[in-house]
Amino acid sequence: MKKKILAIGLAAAMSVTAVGLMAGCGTDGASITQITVAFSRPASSGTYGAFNELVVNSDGKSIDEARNDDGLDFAENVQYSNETGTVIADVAANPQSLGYISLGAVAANTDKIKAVQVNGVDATVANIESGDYKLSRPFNLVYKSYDDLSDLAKNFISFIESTEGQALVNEDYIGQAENPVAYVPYEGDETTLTLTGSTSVQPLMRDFIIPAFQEANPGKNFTINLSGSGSGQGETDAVAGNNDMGMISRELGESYTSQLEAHTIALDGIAVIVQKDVRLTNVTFDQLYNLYMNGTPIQIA
Amino acid sequence: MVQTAANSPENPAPAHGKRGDINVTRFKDGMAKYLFFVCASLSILAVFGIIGYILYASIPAFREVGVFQFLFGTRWNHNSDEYGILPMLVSSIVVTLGAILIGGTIGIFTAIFLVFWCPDKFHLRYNGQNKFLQKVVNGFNKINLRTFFDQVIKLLAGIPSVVFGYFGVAVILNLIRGGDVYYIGKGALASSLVLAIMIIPTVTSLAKNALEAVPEHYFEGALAMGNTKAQAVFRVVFPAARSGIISALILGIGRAVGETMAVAMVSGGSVSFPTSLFQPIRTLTTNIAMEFADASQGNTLFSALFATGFVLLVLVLIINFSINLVPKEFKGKRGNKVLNGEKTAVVYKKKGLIPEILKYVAIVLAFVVVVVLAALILFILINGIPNLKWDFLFGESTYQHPSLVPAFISTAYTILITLAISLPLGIGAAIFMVEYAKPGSKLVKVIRTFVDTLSGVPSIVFGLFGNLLFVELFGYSVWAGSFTMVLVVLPTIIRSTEEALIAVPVSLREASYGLGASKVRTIFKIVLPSAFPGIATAAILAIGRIVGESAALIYTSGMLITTIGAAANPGNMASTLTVFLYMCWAEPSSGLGYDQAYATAVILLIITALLNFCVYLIQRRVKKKR
Repeated sequence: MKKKILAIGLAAAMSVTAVGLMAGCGTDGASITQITVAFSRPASSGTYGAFNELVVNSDGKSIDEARNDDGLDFAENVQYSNETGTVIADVAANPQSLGYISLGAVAANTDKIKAVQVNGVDATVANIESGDYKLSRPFNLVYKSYDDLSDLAKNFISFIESTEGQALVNEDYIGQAENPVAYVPYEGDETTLTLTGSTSVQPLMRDFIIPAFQEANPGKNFTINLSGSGSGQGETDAVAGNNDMGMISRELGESYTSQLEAHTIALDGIAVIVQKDVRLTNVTFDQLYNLYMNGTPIQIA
Repeated sequence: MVQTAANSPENPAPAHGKRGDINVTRFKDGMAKYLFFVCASLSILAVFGIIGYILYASIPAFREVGVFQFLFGTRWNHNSDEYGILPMLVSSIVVTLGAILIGGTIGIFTAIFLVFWCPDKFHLRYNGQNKFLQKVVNGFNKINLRTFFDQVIKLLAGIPSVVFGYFGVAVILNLIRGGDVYYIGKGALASSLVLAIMIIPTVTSLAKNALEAVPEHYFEGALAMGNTKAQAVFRVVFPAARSGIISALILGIGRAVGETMAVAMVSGGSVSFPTSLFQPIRTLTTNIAMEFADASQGNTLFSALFATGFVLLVLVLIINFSINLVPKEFKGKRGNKVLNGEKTAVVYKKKGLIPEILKYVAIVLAFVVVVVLAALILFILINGIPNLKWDFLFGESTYQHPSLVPAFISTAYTILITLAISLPLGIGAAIFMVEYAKPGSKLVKVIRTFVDTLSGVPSIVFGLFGNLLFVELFGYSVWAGSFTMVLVVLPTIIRSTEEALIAVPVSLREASYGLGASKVRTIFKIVLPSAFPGIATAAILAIGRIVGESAALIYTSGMLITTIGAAANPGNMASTLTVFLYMCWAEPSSGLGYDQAYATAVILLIITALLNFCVYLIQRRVKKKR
């Protein structure tokens, strides 16, 4: 009796486990006929701030105005996704959804997601530069005052704005330096630099700037702490003195204009992304507004 | 040592040697008391300080938003200065109730199964000739199932909650979705299920202790009166263990209310009421995590988040208070009611059916637990072991190819620093409370209440506090994270040490005094060695808590990829293993994703198993001594 129960139990355990693990096999994105769910970043995200400010409906009302001035809520079908990376994972796992991330983060993830056109314009660096692609925002470094920055921090900024640095920035973003000059390596003794804030700025730093900065200073061993979960943290940490510089992926927040200076290092697009097999190719601002605020699904032709 | 010093030329032996010794002893006694008092005051200061600060910091929010508007407002949007927590409060409560309904029921029945019906061994039979198979079967038959099950439950009780989050994302969400492509699956049900699985081990092992503590003769007496085994279990032993089982449930509730990161992974994050099972929701703790980045000292959001912490504190207080309401002893009529009256055998048999049914419920639910736990462990191992590569475990760490070495280093630092501060403070405080304070003193009771409250505060609130105080002091660094963890583990250490000290028989102390030993000598030579196993267990549990923590560390020691060189200095930011695990989900990059996550989870599983093994060794030593 007992052993039979045990045997049955173990068999059940194994089969359910197998089913659970198999269930991970994804759904077919190509068969999706409408986008019903939208992912939003939390309010501390710079991408959230810029997206909600820029996306307007046919009456010219932005999501921000609707939410902050008219007291409207997001539609029921809007879910939150905490970080840039989780938006990618969530959209990749749910072909019926869309989300928005930094354009610079798209290239490394094209095996999972793709960017769609916005208002009929491709999300490319060239279109952002020409002003045709409307979803764009600046990347800023923020600090209390430039003069009080450490020498290493000043040198770090000079690297971003040098010819070498601008070449790196321009791969996925639009550099903002007007007359880049050759980089002069750092000669002081400081080794530690702490940058906190936006998860959209982090890929630019992590994949391009920091490794090259280290390489451009042979013989130095820098410790560059790159952390944070949103632009808001970049600002609050800069005010509290908890970082050398804050990273934000939007304009400096209004409540901080008296306390902080912002230094624009690049222009970035916000890409609207869907799972890579989904046949959606274009969304309009009006569709985005209605999806986020009214829950109107976007039909795929 | 003392002998040589006393006889050396500089310190000629006093004419009446003993008198000198007494003076030295008195001095030592005084010093020791002073020292313990300082430890106690520091601990108490920390405990009172943090609770006081949470109160103080939440006042502006209550004042600006209004208590009523804050508690019963339904919108939370800090850009338009609207702070209403009602949807999140309701979500927290509903999700927790769901978790305790599922996890608690299953946990209790599993405990009953483990104590009363779990077979000791497999009774597999194999009559074939294959010698290898015969050996395998014999090997299986040798396993002590009860101990095995017990150890697995303990292992799962120690696993970091983020691991349960991954299980939720990869398995539970898929099961809920059930192939329907228009479903996300995140929401109230998914959160409840993840929390339920998380608390099953806790509830099971505590309920098991409660059942085992019921005196044997209750059970035997019930059998002797003609009850069946099922009747004896459900009508006699279970009611007798009631108070312990309720405490187990309440501890489970506490764990569920306070969980942050695992819930954040499966809840969907919308500020809305849980109107359906699949409604995306946001709990109070996840709200703190999601809004944290915008909070800076002085703004209303900052205060509103502390106010959320204060509401959580009140919830914890209510939960703790209800523990105290549970009567220590079951006062109702014990025993089978049927036998108390004059009933016929027919009625007796009819009423006796329920326990028989419950018995099968227990067996079925225990198998559900086997299924789920097996799924969880297999899930980690199957996905993790293929990714355990040398380079990832022990190689150089760069942004493109992060390795676990910095995480190992920072985990070790965090453990060392945290214990170096919290152990002396906590043990000193406990010694003061047990050995020096007057028995039954009001002060000690107040301290105990505060310590218990602090131990139930969700760790994200400590994160908020640590970000404010310790990050300000040390900058984002392992130091800041460790000091925050001191606050997290201090209550556990104080309370466990206190229990261990109280358990040392008074007669031992009296015998020691009777032989002329001083108080300090008695404490160090008699009391502490006797209480050592209890204190060591407390320290190991604290290590487990540090290893498993994520929410309190993300905002103090940072969530980032770093180099080995940087991690070697605790003044830099570095992520512990569990934070690293969370980062694999939250901020994946070219060298960081699910593969690395599962490998890290395997490592955490191994560490938890090792810690449990240490506890097991200590307990076995104690048993042998007795």
